[in-house]
Amino acid sequence: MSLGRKIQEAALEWVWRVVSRYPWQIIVAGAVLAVVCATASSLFLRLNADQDALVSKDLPYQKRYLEHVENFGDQEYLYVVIRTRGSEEGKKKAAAFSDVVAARLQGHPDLIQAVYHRMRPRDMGPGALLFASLDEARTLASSLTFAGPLINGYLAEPSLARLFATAGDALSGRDATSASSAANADPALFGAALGGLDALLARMQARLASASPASPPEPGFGLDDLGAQHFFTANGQLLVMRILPAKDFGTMDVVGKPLELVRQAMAEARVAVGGVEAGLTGRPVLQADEMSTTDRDMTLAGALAAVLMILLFVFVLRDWLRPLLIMASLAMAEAWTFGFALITLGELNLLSIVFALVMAGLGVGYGIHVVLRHAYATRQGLNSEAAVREAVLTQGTGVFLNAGTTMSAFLAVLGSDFVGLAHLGLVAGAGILFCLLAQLFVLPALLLVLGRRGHLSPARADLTSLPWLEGVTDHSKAVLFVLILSAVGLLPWFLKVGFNYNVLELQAKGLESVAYERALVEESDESTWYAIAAAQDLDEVRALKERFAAQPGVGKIESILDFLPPDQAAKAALYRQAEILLAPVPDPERVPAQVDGLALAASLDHLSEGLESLEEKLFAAGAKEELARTEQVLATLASLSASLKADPSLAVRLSGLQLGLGQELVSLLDWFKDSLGTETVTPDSLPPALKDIYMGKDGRFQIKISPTGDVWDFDNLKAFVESLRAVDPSVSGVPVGFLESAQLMHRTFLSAGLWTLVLVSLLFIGYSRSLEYLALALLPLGFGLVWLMEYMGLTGLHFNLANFFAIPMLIGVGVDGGVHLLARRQELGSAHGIFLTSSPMAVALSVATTVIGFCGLLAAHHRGLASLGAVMVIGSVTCMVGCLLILPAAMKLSSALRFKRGLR
Amino acid sequence: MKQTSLSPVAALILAVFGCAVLGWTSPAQAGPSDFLIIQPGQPGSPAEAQPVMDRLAAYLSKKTGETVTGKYFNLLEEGLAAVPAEKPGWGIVGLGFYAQYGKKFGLTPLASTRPSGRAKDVWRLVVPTNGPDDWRTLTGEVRGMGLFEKKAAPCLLFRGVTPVPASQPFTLEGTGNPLKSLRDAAKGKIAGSVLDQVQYDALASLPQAGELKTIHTSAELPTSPVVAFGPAGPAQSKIGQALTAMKADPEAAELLTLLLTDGFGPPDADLAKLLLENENAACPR
Repeated sequence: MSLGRKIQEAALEWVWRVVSRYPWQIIVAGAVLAVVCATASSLFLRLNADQDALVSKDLPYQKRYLEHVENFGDQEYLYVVIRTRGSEEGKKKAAAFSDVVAARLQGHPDLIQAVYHRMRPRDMGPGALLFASLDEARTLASSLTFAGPLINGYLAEPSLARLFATAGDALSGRDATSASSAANADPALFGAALGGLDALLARMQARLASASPASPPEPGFGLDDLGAQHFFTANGQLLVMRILPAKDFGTMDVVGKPLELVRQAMAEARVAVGGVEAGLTGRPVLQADEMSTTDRDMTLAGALAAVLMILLFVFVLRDWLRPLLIMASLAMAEAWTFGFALITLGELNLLSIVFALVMAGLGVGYGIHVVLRHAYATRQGLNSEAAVREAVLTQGTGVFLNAGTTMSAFLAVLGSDFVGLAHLGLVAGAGILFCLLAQLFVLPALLLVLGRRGHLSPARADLTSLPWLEGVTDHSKAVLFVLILSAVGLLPWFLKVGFNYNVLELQAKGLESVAYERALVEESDESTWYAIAAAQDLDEVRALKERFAAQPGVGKIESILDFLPPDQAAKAALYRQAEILLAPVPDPERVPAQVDGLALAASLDHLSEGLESLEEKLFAAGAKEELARTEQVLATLASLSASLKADPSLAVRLSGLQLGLGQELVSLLDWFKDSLGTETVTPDSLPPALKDIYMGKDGRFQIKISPTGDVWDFDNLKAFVESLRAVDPSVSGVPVGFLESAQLMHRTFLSAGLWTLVLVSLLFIGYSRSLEYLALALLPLGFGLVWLMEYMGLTGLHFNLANFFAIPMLIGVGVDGGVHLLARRQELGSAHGIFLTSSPMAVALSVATTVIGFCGLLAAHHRGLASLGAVMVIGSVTCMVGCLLILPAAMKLSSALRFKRGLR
Repeated sequence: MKQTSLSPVAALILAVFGCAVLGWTSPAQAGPSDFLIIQPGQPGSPAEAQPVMDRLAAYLSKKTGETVTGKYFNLLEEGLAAVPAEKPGWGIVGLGFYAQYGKKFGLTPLASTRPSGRAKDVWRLVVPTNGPDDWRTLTGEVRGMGLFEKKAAPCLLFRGVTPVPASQPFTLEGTGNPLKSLRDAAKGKIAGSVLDQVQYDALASLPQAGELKTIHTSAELPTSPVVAFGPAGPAQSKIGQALTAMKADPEAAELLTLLLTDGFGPPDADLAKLLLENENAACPR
């Protein structure tokens, strides 16, 4: 007997001695530790759902990205995408919808940090007028030659009567220039002005009809919103709102509460503005939706798995207590692992949190081997204590080797720059160790205690073995020939399996966030994914912008230059001349409260004359819609005028309205006059909302570069990042981070696979000192993986960032059966009669629990989870076929060959 | 004695006088690409319309490479006086103007306008609902925007009526306030109103629509033509081409809206017939 075997037997004997002497102490210690760990973890173990924390901060690309975020602030938005269908009516509705959503989101600074859906002139800062084109500036300046005196007239007496008289003057064409300007006004502007006038007159009518008008000054005329430009895409098909949510990395969905608020606001907006098609997307939304879908899918799959698992155990063992003991041991191991994570890491991330699933998938298997051997031994007539001893001594090695293999697979990622995977490796690796300890100490202790008290019934004789497979595998050459032929014959499909990096294709079909992400990609020049670069000064911004724009695949480029208008000196000179034409703006407090009824009626009549003159032009031009609206306004004017003439004292009811409107108008004119006097717009003079986006804390400028193509497609993403790096190697942002992280994850998995192979080989060689043992132990896994990939090639299923996690788990599944059957062969001295023992059934049952655990995912809405379920189920089945057909046949063939050699 | 100096006011008067004298003695010669728009009765004023003229001129200058200037007249007398004074190369004139003065000014059709996208116009005589159903029994004053040209107006209104009436029992008067005329007609202040197709379409959105009825509809008429003053030379042809290409040019979209046309099409063949009808006095008088 080799030294290794001696140590193994001594170790297992020691385990049995400890278990048999201190069963109660082991159970109590395990349970107390589990309670302490669970309590401490629930109190102190943090969840870090920050995706940026999944890779090492020391990686150059991640370092740059984090520095960028620190410098320019978090700019990961939720995007409300509103369809306009390209029509003016659609645009109006979309703008109204966005205004309602924005209004509903106000007053929640704890959840919503900023909303960008339109730009009002005042949002552009004091230099807003410099954003006009030179032609527009000329028109504006020349307009003030006639409008200036009118404005000054109003400012001298900011009353309602003066306001209407001024409007009448402008329309009636007393002054050729003013008439010309009014006649040639932009039709859209005319429509807006008419709408505004109509609304004001309606408000006046309501006030006159009301016995108790609002107390002065009356607010809400919305003059600040005049000239607001909503953020439509270049083709006008979509209106895109950007919402910056407050993030809580202590929750899985990170933006759950802000998201709920935005969705509620959108629902209210749908009611307020009917017939609008809108949806929510953006990286945080996709992440939150993914969490929500996977959570729902996992819950359903978990419930289904639990039901099927109970049915399986009850069917095979006709017993509910033994499965319960396995679950109790597993629960303790899970609790200890939470405690381990608390002590070593203090937090779990989006990847390491799945350790519990991994343990549930693999840890149950260890217990099954122990329990089934215990059941088999009791059927053989051993008393409970002897049965437990046999279970520990015979299954311990297999369980240990299997756990060692799985731990190797997880520990191989330790030290990876993919911190998320490294943490998963550490916690899951430790979890497997705790499963091993729980199933080798706690489970036998529980079996011992309950067996001594007679609570464990003997297992049914017929279901602990698979005798029919004995005959099949006796034809070892035929079995091997057929199976190897099938594997070789299907090799072309093996080569078809690729890696799909497109995470959008992992999401559930029909998800709103995915549909609108696609809409943004396909129907606009916008992208929720944009790269970022930084420049030291404006010259560098200009140069970089130009060079980026020349690269293929580059779409919209945003920078502070968009907010630094050209020809500033020429425009400022024009405005300087115009500004002189405006009288000093009085204090808003000087707006009179008293309203002269008769004077107001006269001014309304004057305005009517002006509108009638305008109507002639509309009639001659055939402008039906405008004509009808003007008619309506004229009717209201006539009605108001008649009321005031009939009872001039009613005008007192308009006092609040005059004050409110007057103060808003005076304040707007004050800003207008200031703007006319503004000489330049510089980065420093921009309002904080713009500066915060484009200027960093260190004074550098941010450049945002959007792709033209679909960068969810990995080839497009690579091409996009490469073209940007050709200009600036330090370019950063989500596309760069995703590209690098996906490649890093791929590399980490591949290197971990190789390391696992090396570690497992060393483990098996160290244990057996036999290459044959190593080859046979890995045979089921090897064939299982080859068949799996051939199946994937046949069905068009590719590896992706979700189902790649199946590989370390399948290594555990594939090796598990091998080592247990090899241990049984060693125990029997030959592979013949192996199917008359409990080991093949234990292997089948162990794989069945894994299949059951993951088959619920096959129906998952999240396509990533569904593909993980498919790979796990198919991979487990192929590994089981490897274990139950290939390995026994190979073992029998090996025995036969050895026997022949011995005869010679 | 106190020395007096030339006051700034006197200097200004002299400057203005000087300019006027220079202007009188050196009249600006219009080029073959310069234009006049003569639309008698259109509401508004030349001053209001001038920015649109300037935009059209700038657009055509850009497209043809020629220097183009333009003026607008909506009073018949001013328009008639402007033709010999300005010596324009081409213009857009009202249909009545073309029918009555086409021969006098040697107007050659270059293109036709498309008001509201229509290639043809129709005039309608509307009267209050309680008015007569037959125009032959209508008496009093009938106003309309295109009725300034006294000889051409009945010819156009009764085009297609056979036999051609020798005269009508009502008078036709041009107006620059067609909407007011319509309202007056609805109220019975005048006998009726003549509306072109665009105005007739707009009537539907007015409360007066239910108070008026149509008692006569003309045969199809050409729309306001684009004409060369005299035989069309290369410059005018170039202008005609630039105008007909405007419909397809996004840059021209806003300008076309201001010009109250959907674009420009080829010259209407009916225009020549109209001149002939007028010449042969085959119109009511």
